[in-house]
Amino acid sequence: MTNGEYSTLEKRWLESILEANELRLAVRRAKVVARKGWVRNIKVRPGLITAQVTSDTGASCDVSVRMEPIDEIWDAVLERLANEAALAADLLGGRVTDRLAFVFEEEGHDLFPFDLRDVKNFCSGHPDDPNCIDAIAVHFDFAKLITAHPMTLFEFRGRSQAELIEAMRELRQTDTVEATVAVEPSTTSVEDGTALLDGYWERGVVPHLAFRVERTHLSETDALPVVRALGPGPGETPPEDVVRVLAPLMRTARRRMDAIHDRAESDAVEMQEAPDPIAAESLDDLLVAAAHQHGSLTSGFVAKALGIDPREARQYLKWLVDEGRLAVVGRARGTKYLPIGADLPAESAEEG
Amino acid sequence: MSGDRTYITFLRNEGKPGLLLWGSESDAPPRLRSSFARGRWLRTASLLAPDDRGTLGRATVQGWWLPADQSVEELASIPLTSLRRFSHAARVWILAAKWAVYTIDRQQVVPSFAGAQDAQDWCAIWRVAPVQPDDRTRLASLAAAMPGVARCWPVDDADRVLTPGAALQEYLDAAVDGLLRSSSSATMPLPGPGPDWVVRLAERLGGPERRFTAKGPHELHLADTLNHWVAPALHLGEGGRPMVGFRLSEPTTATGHWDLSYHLFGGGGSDRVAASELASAAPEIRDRVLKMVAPQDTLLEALGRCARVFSPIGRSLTQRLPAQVKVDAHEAWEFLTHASLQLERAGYMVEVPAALSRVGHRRVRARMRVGVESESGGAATGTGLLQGIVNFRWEACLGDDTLTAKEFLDLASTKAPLVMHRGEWVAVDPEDVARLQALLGEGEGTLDAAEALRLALSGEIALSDGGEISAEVVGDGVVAQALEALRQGTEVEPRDLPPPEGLRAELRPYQQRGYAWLASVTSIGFGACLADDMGLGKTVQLLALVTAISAEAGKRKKPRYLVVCPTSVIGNWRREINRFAPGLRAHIHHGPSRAQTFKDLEDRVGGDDPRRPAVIITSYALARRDCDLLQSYEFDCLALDEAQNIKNPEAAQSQAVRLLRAKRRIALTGTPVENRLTELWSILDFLNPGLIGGRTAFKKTFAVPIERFGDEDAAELLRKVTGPFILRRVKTDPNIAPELPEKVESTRYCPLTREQAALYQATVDEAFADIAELEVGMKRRGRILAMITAIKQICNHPAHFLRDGKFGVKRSGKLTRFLQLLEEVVANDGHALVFTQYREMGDILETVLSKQLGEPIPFLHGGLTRQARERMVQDFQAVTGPPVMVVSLRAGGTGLNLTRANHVFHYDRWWNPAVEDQATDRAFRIGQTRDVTVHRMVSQGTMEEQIHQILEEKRNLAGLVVDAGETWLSELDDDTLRSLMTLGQDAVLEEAW
Repeated sequence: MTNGEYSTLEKRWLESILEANELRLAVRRAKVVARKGWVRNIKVRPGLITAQVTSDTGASCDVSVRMEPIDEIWDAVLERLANEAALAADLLGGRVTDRLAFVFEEEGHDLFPFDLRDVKNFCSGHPDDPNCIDAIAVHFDFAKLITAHPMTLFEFRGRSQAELIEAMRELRQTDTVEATVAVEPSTTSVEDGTALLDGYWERGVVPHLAFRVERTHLSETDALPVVRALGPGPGETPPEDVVRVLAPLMRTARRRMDAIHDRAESDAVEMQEAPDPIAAESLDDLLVAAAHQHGSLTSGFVAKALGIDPREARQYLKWLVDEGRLAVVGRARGTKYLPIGADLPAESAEEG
Repeated sequence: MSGDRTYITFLRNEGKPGLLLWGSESDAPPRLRSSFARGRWLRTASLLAPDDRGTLGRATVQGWWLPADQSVEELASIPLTSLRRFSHAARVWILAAKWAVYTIDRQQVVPSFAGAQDAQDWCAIWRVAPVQPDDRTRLASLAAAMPGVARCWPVDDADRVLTPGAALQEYLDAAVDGLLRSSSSATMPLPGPGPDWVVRLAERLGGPERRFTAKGPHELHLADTLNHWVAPALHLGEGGRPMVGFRLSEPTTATGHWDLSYHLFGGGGSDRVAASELASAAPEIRDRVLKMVAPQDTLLEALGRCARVFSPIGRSLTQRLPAQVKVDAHEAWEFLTHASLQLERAGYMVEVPAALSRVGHRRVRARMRVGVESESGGAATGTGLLQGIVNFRWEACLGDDTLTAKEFLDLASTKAPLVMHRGEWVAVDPEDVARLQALLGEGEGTLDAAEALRLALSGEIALSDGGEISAEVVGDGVVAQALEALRQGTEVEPRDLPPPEGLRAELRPYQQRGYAWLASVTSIGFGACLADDMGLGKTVQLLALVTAISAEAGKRKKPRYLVVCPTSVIGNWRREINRFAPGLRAHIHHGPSRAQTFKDLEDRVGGDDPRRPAVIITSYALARRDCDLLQSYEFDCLALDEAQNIKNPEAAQSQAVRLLRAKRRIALTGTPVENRLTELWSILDFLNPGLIGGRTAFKKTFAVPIERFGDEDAAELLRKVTGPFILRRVKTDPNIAPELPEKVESTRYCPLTREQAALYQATVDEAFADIAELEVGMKRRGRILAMITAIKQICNHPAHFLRDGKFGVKRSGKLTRFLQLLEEVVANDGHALVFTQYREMGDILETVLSKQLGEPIPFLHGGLTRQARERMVQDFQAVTGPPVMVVSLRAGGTGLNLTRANHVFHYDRWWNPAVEDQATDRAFRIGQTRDVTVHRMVSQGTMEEQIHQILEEKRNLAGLVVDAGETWLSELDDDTLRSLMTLGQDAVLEEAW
């Protein structure tokens, strides 16, 4: 996942290969093969990894990696897991931590290959060379796989995560009142339509919900607080890394939220009484009222409506602007006169 | 009200979740209709609905459909205050839309994958993360209140539907997902730099394309892993798995350990089980645990994760089943200030000692003391309370106690964030201490008196831009005096302040309190707004104050008062002054022949005794036009009646009244100003300029948060700041109700328009010409009665008399005034019956009211079938019925049960108290819990007023005219009759001439 460096699990898995001096050249080339995605169809079963490796020439070979499944010590490991919360938590959280791996060592078995002899590689392209480039490339890919999904390692060593959790639960059963059958949350999202009849038109009292809403413009360092708080994500990706990538996307929503808030605010303005054109007492009032009614006025419109010269109309409107009864936006032919309090375009939206 | 037969139903259209607006087309509130009209018209939406027998079946409806995200944009800005007009289904979805905005504003969203479990193609989606403690309860309450019709869209052929929780969840997820995406990949923001899979995920979250393809085998489990990772934050506490929570408890001794215990919450958060009790055999706990799915696994997994946020948790993980961990004070502090917030955001429940939290009182904090005597000498203010500037000073405090410099230094020097102080743990936040030291270093400062008072009233000041960090503010010196005086105003006992002698009215106890409050608040230089419900007698309370000021002023000076009111109530004011405060001279400044110069005005105001206290009554329009002239005075009191007239601060009349000078300013209004915040600002800013800050800031801090989103913190702060200046009592107030008579009766005088006056005069002249030639007898009587009828019609509305079909409101002074009053009733959620004796007038009222109120207003009259009448009565009595009903007096009959009305208007007069009383009683049946106000509309200066006075004088004489109808009038001799009919000088008061 990270360039040049290996994740902890990758390092643990590849240790024996990386430390073998004789494989240095093969390792370098295998890395390239793995990075180019030439390892395909990797499949993991207890004790067996299979994959195909295609080269740039199009030649393809089948690779298998065998490692003896751990059989005899699983019970002992499970006993430890059931008794030490930290280990159980790791298993439940799908993490293979050092302390979890250490349990296997203590019970006399290694979770990871200790040296090259612990694993048996076979490549159809190089039946004689157990440590050919293709085989090592599969190891690299597998290492990447267990980093992304550590429980694959347990599966390879003989037990899936679900089996382990179930077994651990059985071990613990004696000391809690926990329901014996693990009922996973049923999908209760759908129910029979007759349930609607319990209050079809009204059902109790609609709650009074109040929200403390303000335009919070979270800076990108404060973005996505929930994601940030979740702790390391898939493949032990630090949450900050996830947030850094996703934070810029918030801009889209922010624009749309601003529009909602603007609307809420301008609705509030609308609710203030717009002058009633009929009640207008003077030409001033009439024009202000007309501006409210039409949203904006132009000098051409006013000139036509009043039968006066456009220059005179412009002068008139300018007075009203000077008196603070209308606002002006735009220039030259695009000049518009808006009622005070209306939504102004962004650049002139500052209120005095 | 309208809108309750228009529904909003969750419906997936072409696989996209959204909302459908359907139901009675004519009934749809315009706001909803125009919003949904931006969506798509669905001709055949199939929904589940009960038939007449109550059996559920498919029904095909038509309606407008909006996708979830767009519906949020349309619905979120609907004011909370108008929600009650909508059906329950609509309200639930509008509230959900608001919640979506709230949650996006806080970016409480997480990425997730949807799609088949095994496939390598998933859909990347955003989902809502309801992690705030409130969120879960709010969503649960919305789900609980969701009526069937809001989710009656069948998901399959088996007529199954989404549960309320699922419908809400799907809607909210779809809404945030839509709102966070650009419509085209071209406009999509560029993701930030980071791991390859996250960048590819971002590309599928930011634009229109959602399909995410796993790259290589190591991403095979990405969907599961990612969903597992974000799961705690999505958890709504449903579906079986319990939620996990932490509780920090403090030790009782200085050396003891802090305890962080672990808990599980089942049953949607209501069933708590401590981890230590998990193995308990107590049946009650057993039951709760048994209802949870995999409680131990859930707890252990959560602890494993949380140990990475708060490492001390890790220490407890060596046990088999950890229940708590002991932490030291430094760790406890870390938990209080950081870890608890992190955990809460990630979806865990957290409980910490409230007193130690950021806003808790066991915390060393900065406090601002405003109004202090300056140490450098020279008191900031002289005699006038709160003029100019005042001093302030910072101090350190702990709870209510002020810390001495030494105590503070001692606490600060311990360098421990949590210390035992006087037997209690207190928080000494190093950040707070640093800030405090800086503030203390600044020494004293000064600030504007109005601002000082505002801060002292609100009790806090923001120290950071966002307002997350704030300090307490207390008043001292002059500010404390002001606060005390304001506080006393509301507490003053009636006996402390006897009603002024010159007042010729018996004040009810609450009126006495209102008068005392006005006197108290205004005596220290503040303006006051009396916002009592209509019918409680605001005028008489004001007149009591004015009378008292006059008595105090004595003969030395000549007190002058100004009342600014709508033209339609000018006459009313003069009548009330003459009636309640005959010692005052009432001068109407109105009309084309009004005074033009100060000397002229003063001559007219003073009359024969210039030292006599006088009230000038004028209209808003004239206050503006004659602003210069009125500015020559410094009034002893300036009162705005119907102060909502200045609600638009830009309006010229609002600006004009601000320019007027007065020793005391009072605003009267009967509309619930606290619900109309821009109006409230305008009024308060007139009363106490600058005190509540600028309008833009006010709108941002109060109006929008409160009106649109019901922000309770903002509302509370607003109450604190404005409360002392507003007194509002409603008739239903248990403190007021016992003091009220069974019915409150008020006469509403209104002027004629010029058109009405001209018609009136012509009719009277013509009639008298006829009458003079007629002998006493049936013919004469008939002519007189015809004239009376004509006059009543003219007073009602010219169209009533002329039958020209033009129902313009402005043609009738009575209709104008009536609508003003009715608007007030409706604004107060009141319900009114309007009685008229004329069918034609009823038709006019029905038309005008339906137009004004935007919904059909029923008119109950004799021409209707019995069934139609019964249905109208039923509708009116229903909770969602129309706010007003027009009733023809003759239609009545008996047995009409109209107890929902709490206002009764007699639009025209029967001139027979018995008939009117019977009509009133209709709204006053047993079971009526609200007191009823009876309004009698009387055209001032006309025959109506004359006869009204005759009746008022004789009303108490039992039995008089009970059966007489109007015929007694026709028995009067010519001269008496003529004097009754003559137009008074103030019959016409028009705004424009």
